[in-house]
Amino acid sequence: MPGRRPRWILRIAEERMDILFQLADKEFSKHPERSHRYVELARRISKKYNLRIPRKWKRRFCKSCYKFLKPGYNCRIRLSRGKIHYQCLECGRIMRFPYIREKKLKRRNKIEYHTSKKRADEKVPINNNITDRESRSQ
Amino acid sequence: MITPRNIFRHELIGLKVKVAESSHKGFKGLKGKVIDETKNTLKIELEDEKEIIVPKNVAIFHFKLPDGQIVEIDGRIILGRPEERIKRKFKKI
Repeated sequence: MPGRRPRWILRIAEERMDILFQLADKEFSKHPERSHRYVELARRISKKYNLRIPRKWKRRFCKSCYKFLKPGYNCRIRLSRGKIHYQCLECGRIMRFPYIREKKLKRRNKIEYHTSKKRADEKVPINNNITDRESRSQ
Repeated sequence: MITPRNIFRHELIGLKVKVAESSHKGFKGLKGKVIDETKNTLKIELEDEKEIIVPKNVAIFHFKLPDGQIVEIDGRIILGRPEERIKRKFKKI
């Protein structure tokens, strides 16, 4: 997939995107216009080298006006209808991210918990028998 | 990691900088933090929170890396848009 782009170029590009988003987060309280500019620069790098925006920062800018989002200041996060709603308070756009994977994991854990509990119940008397026999032989 | 070897290709925004030399006398000796970058200029925030725009091709900069090293760079090497500097080939000056 990297093609003609050497590995070190991709590494530097990823580091630069990370640095820009960190600065955007830091500068937001005093100079919000700078953090919007940093998002623009990071997006330019990602478009130029066909790289994804780091997963950590993927939800930290608006998909419509491309402004930096800081929850509690210019972004509202709510859960509704099985999705996470990120509302950008600059333009009003709502981004929706499903969390079906987490739901499935929860369901699976619940089932596993019950099945493992049953088996544990079955095993306990057998183990007791063994220990009883051993203790008798001793 | 930003090192003296890859600083031409790395992010300049956020680094501390001093304008060591400039053809325009007023820029010489200014200290501050880089806050923006375009094809031909750097925007620097001075210590008294003033913002100035310095052209790259007439100045020599001293950048302070995050690990404390100080690197001297001719402004002509870092000409170009910030996202295009990563893959540019540099002539030795």
